[in-house]
Amino acid sequence: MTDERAHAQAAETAGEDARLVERARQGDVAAFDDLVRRHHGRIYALVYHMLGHREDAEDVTQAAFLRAYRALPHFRGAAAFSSWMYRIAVNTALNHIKQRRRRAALSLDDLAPAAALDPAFREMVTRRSPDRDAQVSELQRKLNEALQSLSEKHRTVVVLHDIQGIPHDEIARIMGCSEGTVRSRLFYARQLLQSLLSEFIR
Amino acid sequence: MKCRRARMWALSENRAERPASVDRHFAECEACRAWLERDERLVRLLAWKRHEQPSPYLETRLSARVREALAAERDARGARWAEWFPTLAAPIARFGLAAIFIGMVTFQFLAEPSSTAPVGAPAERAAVSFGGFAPAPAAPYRLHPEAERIAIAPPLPAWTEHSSLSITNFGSPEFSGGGFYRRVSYGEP
Ligand SMILES: [Zn+2]
Repeated sequence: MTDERAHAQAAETAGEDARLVERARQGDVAAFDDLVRRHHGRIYALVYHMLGHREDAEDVTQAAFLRAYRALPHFRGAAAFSSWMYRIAVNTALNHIKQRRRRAALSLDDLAPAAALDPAFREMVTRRSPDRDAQVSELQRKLNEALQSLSEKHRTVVVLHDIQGIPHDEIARIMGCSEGTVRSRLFYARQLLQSLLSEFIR
Repeated sequence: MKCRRARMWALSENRAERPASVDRHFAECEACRAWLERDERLVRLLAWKRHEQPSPYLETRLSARVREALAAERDARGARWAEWFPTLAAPIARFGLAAIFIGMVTFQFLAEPSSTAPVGAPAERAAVSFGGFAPAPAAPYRLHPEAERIAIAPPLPAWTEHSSLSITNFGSPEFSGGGFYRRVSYGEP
């Protein structure tokens, strides 16, 4: 997608979000429903990668949307519902982690068929062993374990940047820190992940 | 420049803010170039996580759960009154009748003072008439701590949205004298 098309699409998305937010503020539950429908995928993915647990991720995603609904009267940004929602989701997930203080059990059935069918992915795992499924599971498990072994702050940066593809300056706004802090957290996280996943990146 | 500093700078998305010494360091330092290559492979590995899609039923389930929770919240607000009113109504009515009765008796008593009754200030008399207990001074009204926290919490700031989400991929094999910074745009996750 060209930059201009991406810009135009983002502007359109933001405009539609703003209209829905306005209606939801006036008590239109269907409008908020639409906002949930438009954003649930990315919010759920963010929370899931932060928690490493499907059921918890669903609960936390639901809680984040409820928090957003209650906070709608304070929401002022016309073009930024998604970023605002990200921030609420990050905070809700961090609260959840803090409260539970347990390492989430990892779900191992998470890899969608799409990934397993991806030729590059297949090549990556099959060149190590003919037993592809076992390799996929192993990689999946190691990847999840490595992510979960990071501190919450480091994991959040990795999830937002390396998995969700969000740029540093926006992560800084979501996490309420400087871009330098984002960069430094990303550096330490990558350093640790390099050593934890060394067998896959040699 | 130290390796650690150079590697941290290499993660910067804003090429303009990177000192020229970073590029010089990478041109000269084999260890850092190897680090960047591993970093690029790591970034590609992490990107596989994007393939993990939520279940197709999540949307329906989640939106039903959110709607239910909102409805339950609204109902609970209404139900609290409906639930408490009958429970509170009877004692309030009984207390009201008793108060009226005591008030009438007291009024009668004060209107025709006996010669032996002490004549005090009205407040003292009122205190006596309510069983010897003066009404306690009203306690300052306080919100529940959580409600107070929410009430004083500043509103969440407004955001500006990034039109395109992209990540920087480093250590590409095309490395040649500073050409290793490559922006890669991804589509919708
Ligand atoms: Zn070096």
